[in-house]
Amino acid sequence: MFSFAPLWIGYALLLIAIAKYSKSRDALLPGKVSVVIQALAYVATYISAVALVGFGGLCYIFGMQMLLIAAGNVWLGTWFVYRYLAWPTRLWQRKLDSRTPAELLSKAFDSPHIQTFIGIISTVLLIIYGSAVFKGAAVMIAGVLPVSANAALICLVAIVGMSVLWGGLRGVLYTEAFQGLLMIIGVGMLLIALLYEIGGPIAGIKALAALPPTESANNGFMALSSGAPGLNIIFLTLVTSVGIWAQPQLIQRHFALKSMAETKKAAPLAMLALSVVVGGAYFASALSRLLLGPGITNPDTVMPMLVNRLLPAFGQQLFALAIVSASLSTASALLHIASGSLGRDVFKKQLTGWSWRAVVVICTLCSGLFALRSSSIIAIICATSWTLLACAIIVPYLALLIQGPKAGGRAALLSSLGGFAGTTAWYILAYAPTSVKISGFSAPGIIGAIHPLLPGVIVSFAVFLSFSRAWSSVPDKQAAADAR
Amino acid sequence: MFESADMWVLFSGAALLWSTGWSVIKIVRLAK
Repeated sequence: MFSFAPLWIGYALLLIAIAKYSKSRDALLPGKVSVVIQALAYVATYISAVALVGFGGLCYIFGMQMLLIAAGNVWLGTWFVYRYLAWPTRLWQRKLDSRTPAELLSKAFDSPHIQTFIGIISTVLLIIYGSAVFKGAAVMIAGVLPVSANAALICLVAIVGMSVLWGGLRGVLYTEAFQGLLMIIGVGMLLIALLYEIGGPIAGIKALAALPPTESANNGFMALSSGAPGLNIIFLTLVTSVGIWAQPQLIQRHFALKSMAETKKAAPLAMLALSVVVGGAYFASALSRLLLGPGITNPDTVMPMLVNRLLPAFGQQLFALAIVSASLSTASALLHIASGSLGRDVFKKQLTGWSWRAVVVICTLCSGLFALRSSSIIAIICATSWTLLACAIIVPYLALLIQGPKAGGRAALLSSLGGFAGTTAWYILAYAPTSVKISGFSAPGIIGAIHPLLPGVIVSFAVFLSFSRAWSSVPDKQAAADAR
Repeated sequence: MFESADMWVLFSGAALLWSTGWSVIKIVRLAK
């Protein structure tokens, strides 16, 4: 295993060098970045190792129905975003000269409190979520190199911390693009090896279709399951494809666009990269049952077992690099937006020089410390942070893009608070996979399988409508001031 | 083979193939 150490050291040094030499003057704005870099960075931020290893393992259990998630990610999570959301976001950001998504909403709706609120939840949730991403990458490295997981973790946190600190948003985009490229190579290599082994895609699909149904794939491996497992797939598609619209680290990626024409160039590049990475990984993992047999109980072991079975030693290392790249690209995006949120949205600082360094160091240390400590509350926050943030941001964000800020600051702030509270309450009291562990309660039957994204967005939207200045007959203080 | 595939899986597979083909055509056109 030592013989591959230079490969990993070279990778680490390259990441730091890319970040260092591609930095811009403003840590929170990207400056001029080519569309290829933007597209690859979007994909690399979007796809973490959870999506590759974790969901890849789920493909072994659920079969080809998981392709619904990949298709949703490509069309709803990428095409729709570049077609309808990216350029209007950039126009508002440029008009308001905002540095973070929370500041964008705050300035647009003239509500300072929404910036503080979204800043606080972004900082806390994304630092903790980032810690889980670091931990996953460290475990992966400990599996392929003779180092302990904790030693690998400290090195990874230091490398990502340095690249965020030195590179700012521009450096992060360039390192992500490089990592996105590695992900395409790694997954492409695995897919080709698997198709060669099983005699091509048609033979593989035929063999998979012939397998008997299981408890999870209760309609076979080529059909959506009935009941809760099928509902789970549909909600996973919605959470990962629609929830993505309102993730601050991905909204920030649109700040690099220079013109509407760039969105038309970035969209096909990102869609192709995502089709290869996610579509290829899920297709290969679904077919992995043909090679690995039916006995695997821990889905997280599917991808490593598949890679060990199909690829030579160098290929295994390259695939491990791709998975670590998936983790680190997401971690650097999370650390960057968490640092920006803490400094700009919570402390209201300009974030140049020492103030930027201080917030990055604080967020990096916190993320590293959380990664070293395991607890059930950290695990729950990691599993829920994506949805909590989406529910707090999506309604005011989409409302801004659709109708401008005419609903008013009160509607925006309260819908954000309502979305966050609604989804938290559903996680604690109704959503069976989490609520039974937390409170001991759950909603009855299939209602308990409804993902908290849906009730969270409904509550947020209802609150937004109730307090919208556009609908209300009683003008709020701001409207009255405007009228005067 | 595809008889056992339901609408969801067929639709997802077609959507992925379409996105791949469409993206390649778009990229080639943009590169020209």
